Amino acid sequence: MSFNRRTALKGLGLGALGATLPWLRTPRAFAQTSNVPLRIVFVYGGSGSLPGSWEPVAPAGMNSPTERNFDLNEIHAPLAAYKSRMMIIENLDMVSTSQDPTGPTNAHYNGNTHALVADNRVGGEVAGNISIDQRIAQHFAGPNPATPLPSLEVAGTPDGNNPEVSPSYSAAGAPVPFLVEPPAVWNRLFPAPLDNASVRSAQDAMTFDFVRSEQSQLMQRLGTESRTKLQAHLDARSALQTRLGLSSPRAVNRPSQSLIAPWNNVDFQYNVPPSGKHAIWDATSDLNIRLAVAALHTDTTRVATINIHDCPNHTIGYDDGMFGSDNLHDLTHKVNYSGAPQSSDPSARAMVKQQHLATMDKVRLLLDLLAAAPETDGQSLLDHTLVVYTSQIADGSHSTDRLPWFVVGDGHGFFDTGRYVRLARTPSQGGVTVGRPHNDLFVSLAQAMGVNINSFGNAAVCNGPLTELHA
Amino acid sequence: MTFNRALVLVALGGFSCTPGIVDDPTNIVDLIDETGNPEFVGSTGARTPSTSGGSGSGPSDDPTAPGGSDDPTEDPAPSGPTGPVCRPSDVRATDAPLRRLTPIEYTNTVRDLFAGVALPAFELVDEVNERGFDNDAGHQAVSSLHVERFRETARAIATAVAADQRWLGCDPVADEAGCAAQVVEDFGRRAYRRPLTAAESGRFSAFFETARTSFGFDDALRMFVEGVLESTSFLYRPEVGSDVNVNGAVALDDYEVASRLSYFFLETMPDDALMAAAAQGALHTPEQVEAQAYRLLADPRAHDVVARFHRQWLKLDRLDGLALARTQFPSFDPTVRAALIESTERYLDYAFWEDGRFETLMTSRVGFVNDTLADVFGVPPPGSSELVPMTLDDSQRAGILTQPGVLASTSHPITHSPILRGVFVLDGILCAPPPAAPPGVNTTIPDSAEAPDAHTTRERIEQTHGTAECSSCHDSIDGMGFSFENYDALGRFRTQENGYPVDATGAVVGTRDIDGQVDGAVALAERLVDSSQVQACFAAHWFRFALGRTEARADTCQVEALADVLAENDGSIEAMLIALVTSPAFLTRPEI
Repeated sequence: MSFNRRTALKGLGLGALGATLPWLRTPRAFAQTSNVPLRIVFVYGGSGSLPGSWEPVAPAGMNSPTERNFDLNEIHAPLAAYKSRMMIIENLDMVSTSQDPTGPTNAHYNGNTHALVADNRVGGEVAGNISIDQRIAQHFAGPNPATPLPSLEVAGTPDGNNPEVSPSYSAAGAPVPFLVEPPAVWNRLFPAPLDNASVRSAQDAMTFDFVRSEQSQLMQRLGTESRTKLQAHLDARSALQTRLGLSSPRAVNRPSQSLIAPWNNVDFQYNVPPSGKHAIWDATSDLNIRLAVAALHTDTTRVATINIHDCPNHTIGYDDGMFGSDNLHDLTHKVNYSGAPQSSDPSARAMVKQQHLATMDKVRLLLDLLAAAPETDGQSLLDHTLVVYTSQIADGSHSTDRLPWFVVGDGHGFFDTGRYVRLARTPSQGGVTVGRPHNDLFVSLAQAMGVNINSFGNAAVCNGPLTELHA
Repeated sequence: MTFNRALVLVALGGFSCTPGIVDDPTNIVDLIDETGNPEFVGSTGARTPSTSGGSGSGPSDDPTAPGGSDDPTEDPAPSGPTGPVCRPSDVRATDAPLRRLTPIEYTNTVRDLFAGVALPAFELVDEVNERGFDNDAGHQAVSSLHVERFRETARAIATAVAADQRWLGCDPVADEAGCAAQVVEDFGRRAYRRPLTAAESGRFSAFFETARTSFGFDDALRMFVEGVLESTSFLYRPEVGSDVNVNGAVALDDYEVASRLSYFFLETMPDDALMAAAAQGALHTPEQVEAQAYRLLADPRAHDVVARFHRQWLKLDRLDGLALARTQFPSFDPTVRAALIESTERYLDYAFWEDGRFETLMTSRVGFVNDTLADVFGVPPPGSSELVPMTLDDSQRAGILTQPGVLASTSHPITHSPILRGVFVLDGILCAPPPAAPPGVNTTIPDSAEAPDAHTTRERIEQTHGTAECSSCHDSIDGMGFSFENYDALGRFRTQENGYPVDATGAVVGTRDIDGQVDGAVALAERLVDSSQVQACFAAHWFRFALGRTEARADTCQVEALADVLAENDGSIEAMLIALVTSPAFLTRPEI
């Protein structure tokens, strides 16, 4: 829809004028009116949500919710202040998983290799293409990068780099490492200045030239695959050198390093109940969210992925064995979908709900911090950021259909927010219905960020942008 | 068994549950030529000597070893009625991916490069261990974080070694220019693990001299070291190969062989003896390689490497996070967990280094016990907080699979999991991992409320998996897992669960040579150890670890040959490793 509209504008020669005419306002034209860059954050959750407790509900006096007239359900209650900025999407499916000829090692890898990639795997545990966050980051990295870092990947869980829960890929088979410990994130964002900077920078430039001059002879005698690998390394090193010459455009927004001081007080006996594992999850996710906001606010990067996963048992007072379940993961299985053994047990449901609420509390922290960060145009950082809640699976059945995903932010007018967007499900083989491929959402997000693509991931399942979201 | 073994595998077709869902190159059962071509030639008979030789007996000349001849008349491959033998076209490396130093290899290498200097702490990006081993070159992606960390680390190390110059081997105060020239050649050669080319030598010298003139010796040294540590010839292990082409493969040159040996056995750069042997052209023949391999295996540092192999093969990292519920296991605490980990490591160390036979690894009755673990092992406390070897009840324990640490590694917080135990054996011991449960399938095991008639874990599972859809895979998974029912989540032996007798009868399903009913894990272990599939799977894991890659179908011949060496040498793991490092897979790379 937006594509056609833009095309039409171009044809009419009304590109610049369009911004002033509400009926012709295009996302792109609107974006040009702001000199504050648009950023994007992907929040990656673990087990999705609890069906029946996240879909918007009817406001008092109504029988059913409508697109614009709805109340948030229990699990989204922490986000109430941001309802008008949200697009809660229903019937978004990871259709690409059903087309993947390579079987996953388990259902978690199934979702993990497709959640942000939406394309066929190259192994049971390994995604087969670039993920959407990295694709957008690639756009900003370019030959003339706008920011010192192309993207920031931080974990909210000590297991954040476990391949079973790590969703970002720079290319087929190339997972992007997530930083777990906040001090390491700090050092990456705000490296200590060098002593005697001018002499050192001359020496650095010379040393880099030396590193770069090592080439060709060796390369020619290696096979294609090895050459490609070495070239990728040299390219990454060159890109680093370029970035080293950049300073954060909005360094004035840099917080004090005391931001990460709470890390020093964390009890790392995290396998010891009752407090341990919760304490490390809580501190890791809290501090890394704060650091991600600092990264965006200083314009150190415009793309952040926060792998928050699920909170541990102790966050919500679950002890192994409660409700006859082996552990929280097991309880999630037993509660989390229609027909599951304990799906009708209110207290078991309440426990699982708590886990998702804990995740939403972290999302609220992210939104609160973005909203509290002033931008130069008098608006807040939240006005210049898209926050996308994604997850590895949809619910405790390991299903990847009806993803409980939502977007916060209008992307400089690209999206029409404050809506409950129920997408159509179409009949498929075997009496099942299929929602919209999540590839389509990624196309829209990319376009909102200025990345000019019309397909993402497995092109065979992608329909193009998810125009139902567009303004 | 001969090529018939491969044909039998074709007939079996591996696990048939959910056909098509698994395309796993690591599945030994699946490593067959689907076109019907036999992977082996020959016609009859039992196992035969390895074609890869090196075990010290039999026809061990390697037709593709460096320095060997490609004269077909010298092809010593066994032939005749005693097959199997690998066809000449099978006997070569099918792949040689470019390997980057892993964090542990990097750490060891800079320690050896700058011996005696206190290096700063540094942090590299952990390798991703998708399946198998963290040194798999196929999973070594480069990211912006990787190059950032390599740069930061190079800078930190260079700063330290420019400040403490004891490693130099020359005195810049006495002869600055001479010392610079020496550093360029010596350090360059050691960092690149080969002599520098003339072009490299010139480039290095020019850089050092320019820097020395502009900034003085100390800064030039720092810049030079930083630059070399950031160069791809240091960070990666490029293998150009020699001019010798054997059988369609390129023989590695002696320095490349030195690096392969050193990084395999010690996870560090070649030492002076290896570099000297390479310089003398004395790493050509299988005998030369074998001699060096024995020397490296005798180095105490090899223990750490072997331990790392075991840890990854058996996925023992899972024990680090073991957290059994206190309600069910009041005696479990971090002390018990630490003791379980150490006891398992001690057992593996014993099996490899003190006895060294596969049979011992798989069936030994030895356990390493202290007072903390006596209850877990079911033996009287030895009166020691240190782990001491004890002989265990031979009706209760046999080998690594019945070690409490291994049994506990698959446990949930309140119960053991026959399913995870079954998958563990199928995947790690038989190289036949079952596929994932189909999406949407209820994978929960009914609890006591839902299955009131079930008294034991086994009965609960049996109630769940009765359908055809489940049983196609779970017959093999559960059949394997149930044979461990005599052990609880902590690995303690038991004959009752919840007051009801334990049924530890199981079934081995879908293997090439050991299918059938089995009663208990001790019987299972004794059956597994004799299986050629199990031996080939063990060989395949060492193959992956040694070569930093997953074997391809075309490697089947060499992997099976390693299993043959194991079988022929009374299960000597060392003999198998020697055969591995003298095999074409180790000593050649494919043509570009």
